[in-house]
Amino acid sequence: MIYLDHAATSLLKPVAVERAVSRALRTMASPGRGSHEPAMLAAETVYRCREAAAALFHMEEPERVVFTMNATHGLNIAIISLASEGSRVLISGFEHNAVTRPLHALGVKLQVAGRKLFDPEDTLRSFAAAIPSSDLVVCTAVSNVFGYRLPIQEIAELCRREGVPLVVDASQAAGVLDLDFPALGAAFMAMPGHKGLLGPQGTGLLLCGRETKPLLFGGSGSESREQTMPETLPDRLEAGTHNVCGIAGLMAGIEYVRARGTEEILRHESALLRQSIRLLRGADCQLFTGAPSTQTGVLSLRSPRFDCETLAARLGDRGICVRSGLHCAPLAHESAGTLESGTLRLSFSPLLDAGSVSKACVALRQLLGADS
Amino acid sequence: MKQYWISFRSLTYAQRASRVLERKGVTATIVRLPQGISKKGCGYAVILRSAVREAIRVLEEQHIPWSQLFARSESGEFREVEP
Repeated sequence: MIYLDHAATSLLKPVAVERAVSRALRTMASPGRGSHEPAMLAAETVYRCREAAAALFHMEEPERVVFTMNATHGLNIAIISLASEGSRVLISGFEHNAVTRPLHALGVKLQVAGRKLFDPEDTLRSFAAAIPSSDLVVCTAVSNVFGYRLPIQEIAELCRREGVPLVVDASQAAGVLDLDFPALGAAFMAMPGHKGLLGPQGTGLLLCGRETKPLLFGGSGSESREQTMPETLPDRLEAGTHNVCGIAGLMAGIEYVRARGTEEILRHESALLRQSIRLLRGADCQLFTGAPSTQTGVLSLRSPRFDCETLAARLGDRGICVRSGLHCAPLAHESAGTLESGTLRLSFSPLLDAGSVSKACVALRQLLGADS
Repeated sequence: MKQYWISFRSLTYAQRASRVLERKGVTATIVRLPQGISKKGCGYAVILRSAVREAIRVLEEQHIPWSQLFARSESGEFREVEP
Protein backbone atom coordinates (compact mmCIF):
# COMPACT_ATOMS: atom_id res chain seq x y z
CA MET A 1 0.00 0.00 0.00
CA ILE A 2 1.15 3.52 -0.76
CA TYR A 3 -0.54 6.05 1.49
CA LEU A 4 -0.80 9.60 0.14
CA ASP A 5 -3.56 11.00 2.33
CA HIS A 6 -1.56 12.52 5.17
CA ALA A 7 -3.51 15.78 4.97
CA ALA A 8 -6.49 13.79 6.30
CA THR A 9 -4.59 11.60 8.77
CA SER A 10 -0.90 10.82 8.89
CA LEU A 11 -1.08 7.04 8.79
CA LEU A 12 2.70 6.62 8.79
CA LYS A 13 3.73 7.23 12.42
CA PRO A 14 7.05 7.02 14.21
CA VAL A 15 7.33 3.67 16.03
CA ALA A 16 7.50 5.57 19.32
CA VAL A 17 3.89 6.71 18.85
CA GLU A 18 2.52 3.17 18.78
CA ARG A 19 4.67 2.21 21.78
CA ALA A 20 3.50 5.21 23.78
CA VAL A 21 -0.18 4.47 23.08
CA SER A 22 0.26 0.83 24.08
CA ARG A 23 2.12 1.73 27.28
CA ALA A 24 -0.53 4.26 28.26
CA LEU A 25 -3.28 1.71 27.66
CA ARG A 26 -1.58 -0.72 30.02
CA THR A 27 -0.33 1.59 32.75
CA MET A 28 -2.25 4.87 32.91
CA ALA A 29 -5.55 5.89 34.51
CA SER A 30 -7.31 9.27 34.73
CA PRO A 31 -5.12 12.32 35.30
CA GLY A 32 -6.24 14.58 38.13
CA ARG A 33 -8.62 11.97 39.48
CA GLY A 34 -6.50 10.34 42.17
CA SER A 35 -3.13 10.15 43.83
CA HIS A 36 -2.38 6.51 42.99
CA GLU A 37 0.43 5.64 40.62
CA PRO A 38 -1.60 5.03 37.42
CA ALA A 39 -3.39 8.38 37.87
CA MET A 40 -0.17 10.27 38.60
CA LEU A 41 1.61 8.59 35.67
CA ALA A 42 -1.25 9.71 33.42
CA ALA A 43 -1.03 13.22 34.85
CA GLU A 44 2.70 13.35 34.24
CA THR A 45 2.26 12.15 30.63
CA VAL A 46 -0.45 14.71 29.94
CA TYR A 47 1.68 17.49 31.40
CA ARG A 48 4.76 16.39 29.44
CA CYS A 49 2.72 16.55 26.26
CA ARG A 50 1.59 20.07 27.18
CA GLU A 51 5.23 21.02 27.74
CA ALA A 52 6.31 19.49 24.42
CA ALA A 53 3.54 21.31 22.54
CA ALA A 54 4.31 24.59 24.30
CA ALA A 55 7.97 24.25 23.31
CA LEU A 56 7.07 23.47 19.68
CA PHE A 57 4.96 26.62 19.45
CA HIS A 58 7.38 28.78 21.48
CA MET A 59 5.03 29.22 24.45
CA GLU A 60 6.13 29.65 28.05
CA GLU A 61 2.86 28.64 29.71
CA PRO A 62 1.96 24.95 29.18
CA GLU A 63 -1.42 25.53 30.84
CA ARG A 64 -2.44 27.50 27.75
CA VAL A 65 -2.16 24.30 25.70
CA VAL A 66 -5.62 22.70 25.85
CA PHE A 67 -6.34 19.16 24.68
CA THR A 68 -9.25 18.75 22.31
CA MET A 69 -10.72 15.88 20.31
CA ASN A 70 -9.55 17.37 17.01
CA ALA A 71 -9.08 20.72 15.28
CA THR A 72 -12.82 21.15 14.77
CA HIS A 73 -13.40 20.93 18.53
CA GLY A 74 -10.73 23.57 19.15
CA LEU A 75 -12.07 25.87 16.43
CA ASN A 76 -15.57 25.64 17.89
CA ILE A 77 -14.28 26.69 21.32
CA ALA A 78 -12.30 29.57 19.81
CA ILE A 79 -15.20 30.78 17.71
CA ILE A 80 -17.83 30.69 20.49
CA SER A 81 -15.36 32.47 22.76
CA LEU A 82 -15.04 35.42 20.39
CA ALA A 83 -18.12 35.61 18.17
CA SER A 84 -21.86 35.75 18.57
CA GLU A 85 -24.88 36.43 16.39
CA GLY A 86 -24.28 39.49 14.26
CA SER A 87 -20.49 39.63 14.78
CA ARG A 88 -18.61 40.75 11.67
CA VAL A 89 -16.26 37.87 10.95
CA LEU A 90 -13.63 37.88 8.22
CA ILE A 91 -12.37 34.58 6.82
CA SER A 92 -10.11 33.56 3.95
CA GLY A 93 -11.44 32.02 0.77
CA PHE A 94 -9.81 28.72 1.70
CA GLU A 95 -11.50 27.82 4.99
CA HIS A 96 -12.66 24.34 5.94
CA ASN A 97 -16.18 23.58 7.09
CA ALA A 98 -14.69 23.30 10.61
CA VAL A 99 -14.56 27.10 10.45
CA THR A 100 -17.50 28.00 8.23
CA ARG A 101 -20.14 25.74 9.81
CA PRO A 102 -19.73 27.00 13.40
CA LEU A 103 -19.78 30.58 12.09
CA HIS A 104 -22.91 29.82 10.08
CA ALA A 105 -24.56 28.22 13.12
CA LEU A 106 -23.85 31.32 15.23
CA GLY A 107 -25.42 33.61 12.63
CA VAL A 108 -22.44 35.91 12.16
CA LYS A 109 -22.04 38.40 9.32
CA LEU A 110 -19.46 36.67 7.16
CA GLN A 111 -17.00 38.37 4.84
CA VAL A 112 -14.54 36.45 2.67
CA ALA A 113 -11.10 37.85 1.75
CA GLY A 114 -8.34 36.56 -0.50
CA ARG A 115 -9.76 34.15 -3.01
CA LYS A 116 -6.84 33.94 -5.46
CA LEU A 117 -4.96 30.67 -5.17
CA PHE A 118 -1.19 30.83 -4.57
CA ASP A 119 -1.23 34.64 -4.54
CA PRO A 120 -0.19 35.79 -1.05
CA GLU A 121 0.12 39.42 -2.13
CA ASP A 122 -3.49 39.49 -3.28
CA THR A 123 -4.56 37.67 -0.11
CA LEU A 124 -2.80 40.24 2.03
CA ARG A 125 -4.22 43.22 0.14
CA SER A 126 -7.70 41.77 0.49
CA PHE A 127 -7.29 41.18 4.23
CA ALA A 128 -5.76 44.62 4.77
CA ALA A 129 -8.84 46.23 3.24
CA ALA A 130 -11.34 44.20 5.27
CA ILE A 131 -9.74 43.77 8.72
CA PRO A 132 -10.52 47.28 10.02
CA SER A 133 -14.26 46.65 9.67
CA SER A 134 -14.16 43.19 11.27
CA ASP A 135 -14.78 42.03 14.84
CA LEU A 136 -12.91 38.79 14.36
CA VAL A 137 -10.63 37.16 11.77
CA VAL A 138 -10.50 33.37 11.35
CA CYS A 139 -7.90 32.17 8.90
CA THR A 140 -6.21 28.96 7.94
CA ALA A 141 -2.43 28.94 7.68
CA VAL A 142 -2.48 26.36 4.85
CA SER A 143 -5.34 25.27 2.59
CA ASN A 144 -6.19 21.62 3.15
CA VAL A 145 -7.20 21.24 -0.50
CA PHE A 146 -4.35 22.96 -2.31
CA GLY A 147 -1.53 23.28 0.21
CA TYR A 148 -1.63 27.06 -0.36
CA ARG A 149 0.42 28.81 2.34
CA LEU A 150 -1.51 31.91 3.27
CA PRO A 151 0.60 34.84 4.57
CA ILE A 152 -0.49 34.18 8.15
CA GLN A 153 2.30 36.14 9.83
CA GLU A 154 1.45 39.25 7.85
CA ILE A 155 -2.29 38.77 8.44
CA ALA A 156 -1.56 38.39 12.16
CA GLU A 157 0.45 41.61 12.09
CA LEU A 158 -2.46 43.45 10.46
CA CYS A 159 -4.83 42.06 13.10
CA ARG A 160 -2.52 43.17 15.93
CA ARG A 161 -2.25 46.64 14.42
CA GLU A 162 -6.04 46.98 14.16
CA GLY A 163 -6.74 45.28 17.51
CA VAL A 164 -8.86 42.58 15.87
CA PRO A 165 -8.61 39.10 17.42
CA LEU A 166 -7.33 36.34 15.16
CA VAL A 167 -8.09 32.63 15.25
CA VAL A 168 -5.61 30.52 13.27
CA ASP A 169 -6.59 27.15 11.87
CA ALA A 170 -3.24 25.36 11.88
CA SER A 171 -4.63 22.00 10.81
CA GLN A 172 -2.29 21.64 7.83
CA ALA A 173 0.52 23.79 9.19
CA ALA A 174 1.25 22.29 12.61
CA GLY A 175 4.29 20.06 12.40
CA VAL A 176 5.23 21.44 8.99
CA LEU A 177 5.75 25.18 9.51
CA ASP A 178 7.49 26.91 12.39
CA LEU A 179 4.57 28.61 14.16
CA ASP A 180 5.47 31.01 16.96
CA PHE A 181 2.18 31.47 18.81
CA PRO A 182 3.24 34.36 21.10
CA ALA A 183 4.87 36.20 18.18
CA LEU A 184 1.73 35.82 16.07
CA GLY A 185 -0.27 37.36 18.90
CA ALA A 186 -3.28 35.29 17.87
CA ALA A 187 -6.20 34.84 20.22
CA PHE A 188 -6.31 31.10 19.51
CA MET A 189 -4.65 28.54 17.31
CA ALA A 190 -6.33 25.17 16.75
CA MET A 191 -4.90 22.00 15.24
CA PRO A 192 -5.42 18.26 15.12
CA GLY A 193 -2.97 15.85 16.71
CA HIS A 194 -3.34 13.23 14.00
CA LYS A 195 -1.97 15.05 10.96
CA GLY A 196 1.42 16.82 10.98
CA LEU A 197 1.95 16.24 14.69
CA LEU A 198 1.87 12.50 13.93
CA GLY A 199 -0.31 11.53 16.90
CA PRO A 200 -3.37 9.26 16.97
CA GLN A 201 -6.87 10.21 15.79
CA GLY A 202 -9.04 11.74 18.50
CA THR A 203 -6.39 14.20 19.61
CA GLY A 204 -6.11 17.93 19.04
CA LEU A 205 -4.67 21.08 20.57
CA LEU A 206 -6.05 24.53 21.17
CA LEU A 207 -3.47 27.18 22.05
CA CYS A 208 -5.15 29.91 24.04
CA GLY A 209 -4.14 33.55 24.20
CA ARG A 210 -7.47 34.93 25.35
CA GLU A 211 -10.32 34.34 27.79
CA THR A 212 -12.37 31.33 26.82
CA LYS A 213 -15.91 30.01 26.94
CA PRO A 214 -16.28 26.29 27.63
CA LEU A 215 -18.01 24.18 25.02
CA LEU A 216 -18.38 21.19 27.36
CA PHE A 217 -19.27 21.21 31.04
CA GLY A 218 -18.43 18.50 33.54
CA GLY A 219 -15.80 17.11 35.85
CA SER A 220 -12.34 18.64 35.69
CA GLY A 221 -10.72 16.99 38.72
CA SER A 222 -10.50 20.43 40.36
CA GLU A 223 -12.74 22.81 42.36
CA SER A 224 -15.33 20.03 42.50
CA ARG A 225 -17.67 21.77 44.97
CA GLU A 226 -18.37 24.51 42.42
CA GLN A 227 -21.12 24.07 39.85
CA THR A 228 -19.42 26.29 37.31
CA MET A 229 -16.38 25.33 35.29
CA PRO A 230 -13.05 26.51 36.78
CA GLU A 231 -11.78 29.87 35.55
CA THR A 232 -8.27 28.58 35.07
CA LEU A 233 -6.85 26.89 32.00
CA PRO A 234 -6.67 24.13 30.99
CA ASP A 235 -9.35 22.84 33.40
CA ARG A 236 -11.90 25.34 32.09
CA LEU A 237 -11.91 23.65 28.68
CA GLU A 238 -11.12 20.05 29.54
CA ALA A 239 -14.31 18.58 31.00
CA GLY A 240 -14.35 14.79 31.31
CA THR A 241 -11.64 12.18 31.24
CA HIS A 242 -8.72 12.91 28.94
CA ASN A 243 -7.79 10.76 25.97
CA VAL A 244 -4.65 9.68 27.80
CA CYS A 245 -3.64 7.00 25.30
CA GLY A 246 -4.03 9.47 22.46
CA ILE A 247 -2.15 12.18 24.32
CA ALA A 248 0.70 9.78 25.11
CA GLY A 249 0.96 9.01 21.38
CA LEU A 250 0.68 12.67 20.51
CA MET A 251 3.58 13.46 22.81
CA ALA A 252 5.73 10.92 20.97
CA GLY A 253 4.66 12.47 17.65
CA ILE A 254 5.50 15.98 18.81
CA GLU A 255 8.86 14.80 20.10
CA TYR A 256 9.59 13.35 16.65
CA VAL A 257 8.66 16.65 15.00
CA ARG A 258 10.82 18.62 17.45
CA ALA A 259 13.78 16.31 16.96
CA ARG A 260 13.59 16.38 13.15
CA GLY A 261 12.58 20.03 12.96
CA THR A 262 9.80 21.67 10.96
CA GLU A 263 12.30 23.15 8.51
CA GLU A 264 13.58 19.68 7.55
CA ILE A 265 10.03 18.26 7.43
CA LEU A 266 8.89 21.05 5.10
CA ARG A 267 11.98 20.53 2.93
CA HIS A 268 11.26 16.78 2.70
CA GLU A 269 7.57 17.23 1.86
CA SER A 270 8.33 19.99 -0.64
CA ALA A 271 10.81 17.71 -2.40
CA LEU A 272 8.11 15.03 -2.70
CA LEU A 273 5.70 17.65 -4.03
CA ARG A 274 8.18 18.81 -6.69
CA GLN A 275 8.88 15.19 -7.62
CA SER A 276 5.15 14.53 -8.09
CA ILE A 277 4.72 17.63 -10.20
CA ARG A 278 7.62 16.58 -12.43
CA LEU A 279 6.22 13.07 -12.86
CA LEU A 280 2.68 14.21 -13.57
CA ARG A 281 3.53 17.07 -15.89
CA GLY A 282 2.41 16.07 -19.36
CA ALA A 283 -0.35 13.82 -18.08
CA ASP A 284 -3.90 14.70 -19.09
CA CYS A 285 -4.82 16.66 -15.97
CA GLN A 286 -4.87 20.09 -14.40
CA LEU A 287 -2.31 20.39 -11.60
CA PHE A 288 -2.83 23.07 -8.97
CA THR A 289 0.62 24.38 -8.16
CA GLY A 290 2.16 27.62 -6.99
CA ALA A 291 5.61 29.04 -6.39
CA PRO A 292 7.59 26.77 -4.02
CA SER A 293 7.31 29.27 -1.17
CA THR A 294 3.51 29.30 -1.44
CA GLN A 295 2.77 25.55 -1.30
CA THR A 296 3.30 22.80 1.27
CA GLY A 297 3.26 19.04 0.60
CA VAL A 298 -0.29 18.89 -0.76
CA LEU A 299 -1.12 18.55 -4.46
CA SER A 300 -4.60 18.76 -5.98
CA LEU A 301 -5.38 17.85 -9.56
CA ARG A 302 -8.35 17.07 -11.78
CA SER A 303 -8.84 15.18 -14.99
CA PRO A 304 -10.97 16.25 -17.95
CA ARG A 305 -11.83 12.57 -18.56
CA PHE A 306 -12.42 11.06 -15.13
CA ASP A 307 -14.46 12.10 -12.14
CA CYS A 308 -12.09 12.50 -9.19
CA GLU A 309 -13.97 9.82 -7.22
CA THR A 310 -13.49 7.34 -10.09
CA LEU A 311 -9.79 8.13 -10.24
CA ALA A 312 -9.41 7.70 -6.48
CA ALA A 313 -11.25 4.37 -6.58
CA ARG A 314 -9.04 3.12 -9.41
CA LEU A 315 -5.93 4.15 -7.53
CA GLY A 316 -7.37 2.47 -4.45
CA ASP A 317 -7.69 -0.75 -6.45
CA ARG A 318 -3.94 -0.50 -7.04
CA GLY A 319 -3.24 0.02 -3.34
CA ILE A 320 -2.70 3.77 -3.64
CA CYS A 321 -4.61 5.82 -1.08
CA VAL A 322 -5.55 9.37 -2.01
CA ARG A 323 -8.39 11.73 -1.12
CA SER A 324 -11.05 12.86 -3.58
CA GLY A 325 -14.04 15.18 -3.58
CA LEU A 326 -14.49 18.51 -1.83
CA HIS A 327 -12.32 17.72 1.22
CA CYS A 328 -14.91 19.37 3.50
CA ALA A 329 -13.87 22.73 2.07
CA PRO A 330 -16.43 23.88 -0.53
CA LEU A 331 -15.37 27.48 -0.04
CA ALA A 332 -11.80 26.65 -1.12
CA HIS A 333 -13.15 24.90 -4.23
CA GLU A 334 -15.43 27.83 -4.96
CA SER A 335 -12.39 30.14 -4.75
CA ALA A 336 -10.35 27.95 -7.09
CA GLY A 337 -13.20 27.23 -9.52
CA THR A 338 -13.32 23.50 -8.73
CA LEU A 339 -16.59 23.32 -6.79
CA GLU A 340 -18.37 21.31 -9.46
CA SER A 341 -15.60 18.80 -10.15
CA GLY A 342 -13.81 18.53 -6.83
CA THR A 343 -10.19 17.43 -6.96
CA LEU A 344 -7.99 14.45 -6.38
CA ARG A 345 -5.51 15.21 -3.60
CA LEU A 346 -2.08 13.74 -2.92
CA SER A 347 -0.54 14.70 0.41
CA PHE A 348 2.85 13.83 1.80
CA SER A 349 4.47 13.10 5.13
CA PRO A 350 7.89 13.23 6.76
CA LEU A 351 7.89 9.41 6.83
CA LEU A 352 7.06 8.94 3.17
CA ASP A 353 9.85 7.97 0.73
CA ALA A 354 10.48 9.15 -2.80
CA GLY A 355 10.21 5.62 -4.23
CA SER A 356 6.61 5.27 -3.07
CA VAL A 357 5.71 8.67 -4.50
CA SER A 358 7.30 7.71 -7.80
CA LYS A 359 5.34 4.44 -8.04
CA ALA A 360 2.08 6.22 -7.22
CA CYS A 361 2.66 8.97 -9.77
CA VAL A 362 3.53 6.46 -12.50
CA ALA A 363 0.28 4.58 -11.80
CA LEU A 364 -1.71 7.82 -11.76
CA ARG A 365 -0.11 8.98 -14.99
CA GLN A 366 -1.09 5.71 -16.68
CA LEU A 367 -4.69 6.18 -15.58
CA LEU A 368 -4.83 9.80 -16.64
CA GLY A 369 -3.27 9.23 -20.05
CA ALA A 370 -1.03 11.67 -21.87
CA ASP A 371 -2.04 15.25 -22.49
CA SER A 372 -3.16 15.54 -26.11
CA MET B 1 9.35 16.83 60.12
CA LYS B 2 7.57 20.10 59.37
CA GLN B 3 6.34 20.56 55.83
CA TYR B 4 5.02 23.47 53.80
CA TRP B 5 2.21 22.90 51.33
CA ILE B 6 1.56 25.39 48.55
CA SER B 7 -1.89 24.88 47.05
CA PHE B 8 -3.00 25.55 43.47
CA ARG B 9 -6.30 25.83 41.66
CA SER B 10 -5.39 23.13 39.18
CA LEU B 11 -3.16 20.11 38.82
CA THR B 12 -1.48 21.73 35.82
CA TYR B 13 -0.35 24.74 37.87
CA ALA B 14 0.98 22.37 40.55
CA GLN B 15 2.87 20.47 37.86
CA ARG B 16 4.34 23.63 36.38
CA ALA B 17 5.30 24.86 39.85
CA SER B 18 6.96 21.54 40.65
CA ARG B 19 8.96 21.65 37.39
CA VAL B 20 10.10 25.22 37.91
CA LEU B 21 11.07 24.64 41.56
CA GLU B 22 12.90 21.39 40.82
CA ARG B 23 14.90 23.24 38.16
CA LYS B 24 15.94 25.68 40.91
CA GLY B 25 17.04 22.78 43.09
CA VAL B 26 13.98 22.82 45.37
CA THR B 27 12.30 19.44 45.81
CA ALA B 28 8.56 19.95 45.31
CA THR B 29 6.38 16.84 45.42
CA ILE B 30 2.85 17.01 43.95
CA VAL B 31 0.02 15.77 46.19
CA ARG B 32 -3.75 16.06 46.39
CA LEU B 33 -4.92 18.59 48.95
CA PRO B 34 -6.89 17.16 51.92
CA GLN B 35 -10.59 17.93 51.44
CA GLY B 36 -10.64 19.62 54.86
CA ILE B 37 -8.42 22.45 53.69
CA SER B 38 -9.43 22.55 50.05
CA LYS B 39 -11.83 25.50 49.83
CA LYS B 40 -13.49 24.49 46.56
CA GLY B 41 -12.83 20.76 46.70
CA CYS B 42 -10.27 18.62 44.87
CA GLY B 43 -7.17 20.77 44.83
CA TYR B 44 -3.50 20.06 44.41
CA ALA B 45 -0.40 21.20 46.27
CA VAL B 46 3.35 20.86 46.20
CA ILE B 47 5.13 19.86 49.39
CA LEU B 48 8.31 21.65 50.39
CA ARG B 49 10.55 20.93 53.31
CA SER B 50 12.56 24.14 53.09
CA ALA B 51 13.19 27.29 51.09
CA VAL B 52 9.54 28.35 51.19
CA ARG B 53 10.15 32.08 50.70
CA GLU B 54 12.49 31.34 47.81
CA ALA B 55 9.86 29.03 46.30
CA ILE B 56 7.11 31.66 46.53
CA ARG B 57 9.43 34.25 45.00
CA VAL B 58 10.19 31.90 42.08
CA LEU B 59 6.49 31.16 41.50
CA GLU B 60 5.65 34.85 41.44
CA GLU B 61 8.54 35.60 39.13
CA GLN B 62 7.29 32.92 36.75
CA HIS B 63 3.66 34.14 37.03
CA ILE B 64 2.44 30.81 38.39
CA PRO B 65 -0.63 31.57 40.49
CA TRP B 66 -0.75 29.79 43.85
CA SER B 67 -3.69 29.79 46.23
CA GLN B 68 -2.61 29.24 49.84
CA LEU B 69 0.43 28.34 51.90
CA PHE B 70 0.05 25.87 54.75
CA ALA B 71 2.45 24.69 57.43
CA ARG B 72 1.88 21.03 58.31
CA SER B 73 3.04 19.97 61.73
CA GLU B 74 4.58 16.60 62.55
CA SER B 75 1.23 15.53 63.98
CA GLY B 76 -0.43 16.28 60.62
CA GLU B 77 -2.25 19.52 61.48
CA PHE B 78 -2.48 22.22 58.81
CA ARG B 79 -2.23 25.94 59.54
CA GLU B 80 -2.40 28.61 56.86
CA VAL B 81 0.64 30.86 57.07
CA GLU B 82 2.00 33.96 55.36
CA PRO B 83 5.07 33.47 53.16
